[in-house]
Amino acid sequence: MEERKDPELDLEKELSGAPLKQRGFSDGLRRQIEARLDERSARRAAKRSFTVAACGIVTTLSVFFLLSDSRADVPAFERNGAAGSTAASAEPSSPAMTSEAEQPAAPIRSALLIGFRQDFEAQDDKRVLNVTKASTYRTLLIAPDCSGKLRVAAEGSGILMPYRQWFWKIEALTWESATDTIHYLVARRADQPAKPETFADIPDEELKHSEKLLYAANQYVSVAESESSWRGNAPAEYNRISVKKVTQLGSNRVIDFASNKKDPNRVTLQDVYGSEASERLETMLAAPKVVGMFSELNGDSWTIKRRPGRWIALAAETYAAPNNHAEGYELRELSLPLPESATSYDTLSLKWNEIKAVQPMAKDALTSPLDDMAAVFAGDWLYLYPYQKPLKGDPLLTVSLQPGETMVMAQWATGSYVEEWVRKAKLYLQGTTNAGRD
Amino acid sequence: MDGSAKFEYLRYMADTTDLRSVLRDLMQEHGNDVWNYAFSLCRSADMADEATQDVFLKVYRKLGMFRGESSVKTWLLAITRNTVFDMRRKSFWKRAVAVGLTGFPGLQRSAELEAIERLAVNDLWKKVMTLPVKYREVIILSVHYQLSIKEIAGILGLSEGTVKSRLHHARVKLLKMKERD
Repeated sequence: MEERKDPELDLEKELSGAPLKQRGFSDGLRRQIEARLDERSARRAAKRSFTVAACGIVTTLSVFFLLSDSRADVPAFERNGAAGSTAASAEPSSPAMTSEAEQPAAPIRSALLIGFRQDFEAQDDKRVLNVTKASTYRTLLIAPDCSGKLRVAAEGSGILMPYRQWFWKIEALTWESATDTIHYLVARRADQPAKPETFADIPDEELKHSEKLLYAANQYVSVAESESSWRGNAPAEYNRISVKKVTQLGSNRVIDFASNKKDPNRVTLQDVYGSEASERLETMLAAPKVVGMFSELNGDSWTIKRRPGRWIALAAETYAAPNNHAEGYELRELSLPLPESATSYDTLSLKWNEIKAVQPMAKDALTSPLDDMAAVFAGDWLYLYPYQKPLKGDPLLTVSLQPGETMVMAQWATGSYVEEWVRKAKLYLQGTTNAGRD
Repeated sequence: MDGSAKFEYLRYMADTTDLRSVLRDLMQEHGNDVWNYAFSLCRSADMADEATQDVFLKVYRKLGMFRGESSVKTWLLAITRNTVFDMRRKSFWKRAVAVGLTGFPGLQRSAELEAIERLAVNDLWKKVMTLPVKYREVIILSVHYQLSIKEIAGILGLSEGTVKSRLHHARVKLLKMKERD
C-alpha cells in the first residue's frame, strides 16, 4: 500500500531552513552593528566631555563675574557679546574651551587587554625524563586614565579573559609526586577561587605532562598538550592540540595518554566553519604532510595562532606510531578567515609599510576598533601609538616584554566599558578594589 | 542547552553585566532568526540588513528591561516585526513624496518578487513569499519558527482565535498553490 504523505509535515520540512540560498546574518552585518554601537558610545562620551567642560566654563565665568569689579578686566569675547554672563553661559566659544594650551589630539577611548605566555625548560638529572617544559602567563590592561594619558592600568599573572557577562581567569598550576610532574591549566570565573587538582600516581612509571595555552578569545581557547612517559624501560611521547570552549578547559582532563582515549571536550573546525571546513580538509588531505605513516586530517585537532597582524586557523594533521608509543601532529594553514565568533575584533587598519616607517623591526601590530590606538610589537617591546595615518611621532607608552614572550590574547574595550574593565582587571589581577581610573 | 535556557541569565543582569558580550551571544544564537523574519516581512535583503541592525541596537538598549515574560526568541521577533513595519511605513512615505502618489508602486513589488524567484531556497518559500503579509507571517512564525499560537498572538498583538483562523487560511492557500503545480 502506498504510504500517505502528510502535507502538513511536508510544509514543515520545506520551510525548516532559511528562505534564501545566501545572505542572512553575516559576520559583516555583525561588525556593522558593533561599529554603530562603538560610534554611539564615542558620541555619548564626547557629549559628556563637552557638557562637563561647558559646565566648568560656565561656573568659572559666573564666579569671575561675581568677583570682578571692573569691566575693563573682562575678556574681549564677553564685552562683544550680550551684557552679563547669560550670553557667555549660553554659547561658550571654542578658544575658551581650549584655553591657552594647544588643541589636544583626539582622546583615546579604547583599552587593550593583552595576554602573554612565556615558555621555559627545567632540567632534573635525578629522573629518567630529565627535562620539564612549562609556561607562565601574565595579562596587562593598557587603558587611558581620567586625564586621557595611556598607562598600564592593571597587570597580573594568569590570563584574564572576558567571557559573556563575566571575566574568566586561566592559570597554570603544577602537581608533583616523586616520579611525576603535571603542569595543567585551569579556567574559572575570576570571582571564584581556583581549585587545584590532584592526580593518581602510577607506581613504576615516570610521567611528565604539560599543557600550554596558545590562544584565548571570546569563548574559545586553544591548548597544546605534551606528555612523556617512561614505563618498564619503554619511553613514550605524545603531542596533541585542540580548541575548546573556555568552560571545557580542565573538565574531563585526560592524563596518561597511553592509557586513555582523547578528551571528548573539544570544538572542531566544522563547529566553527561548518561544511566549508570539511571541503577544505579534503583538498588538503590529497597532499598529506606526514610521510611514512597513516595520518588524519578530520578537523578534530586544530589551533589558532598569531601571524603578523592577524589570527589564523591551522588544522593539525595527526599521526600515531604503529606501537602507540608516539603521537604527534603537523600544523597546516587552513587558509579560511576566522569568523568573528572565534576572534572578536581582528582587523589591522594600518599597512605594514606605515608601521615599519616608525618601527622598522616591527613583527606584529594591532589597531583598536575605534581607530584611536595602535599597538606595535618590535623586539622585546610593545609600543602604543595614537592612531593616525601615517603613523608618526613618539609612542604614548612603551611596555617591556620578557624574552620569548608570545601574545595569546588581545581583547579591546571601548567607550564606557573601559572604566569597568579597569576596575575588574585591578580586582582580578591585583586584588585591589580601587574603583574607576586613576 | 536549548536557546531559552541559555539566556535565562538575562532576567538577572546587574549594572556590571558586560552588555556587549551578551549582545554578541544573542547575535550568534538568534542573528539568523531575526534576519530571516525581517526578510520574510519586507522581501528585501537590503531592508532586512538595515532592520536587523536596528533590531540589535534596540535590543542592546532594552537588555536591562527584559524580565523573561516571553522567550528571548519571541521577544526578538516581536522587536523585529515592529522595526520592519516602522521602516516600511517611513519607506512608503519617502517613495510617495519622491514619485508622487500616482507613481509606480508596482515596479517595487516586481523587483522584490524577482529577487525572491532568483534566490529562494525552494519552491515553497517562493510561494510563501507571494502570500499577503498577514498570512505569510503566521505561517512562518508557526512552521519555520515553531512558535505556539499563544506566542504568535503575543507577537502580532492578535487574539489566539484570529491567529488560528489566519493560520488555517494560510495553510489552505499554500496547499492549493502546491496542488496547482
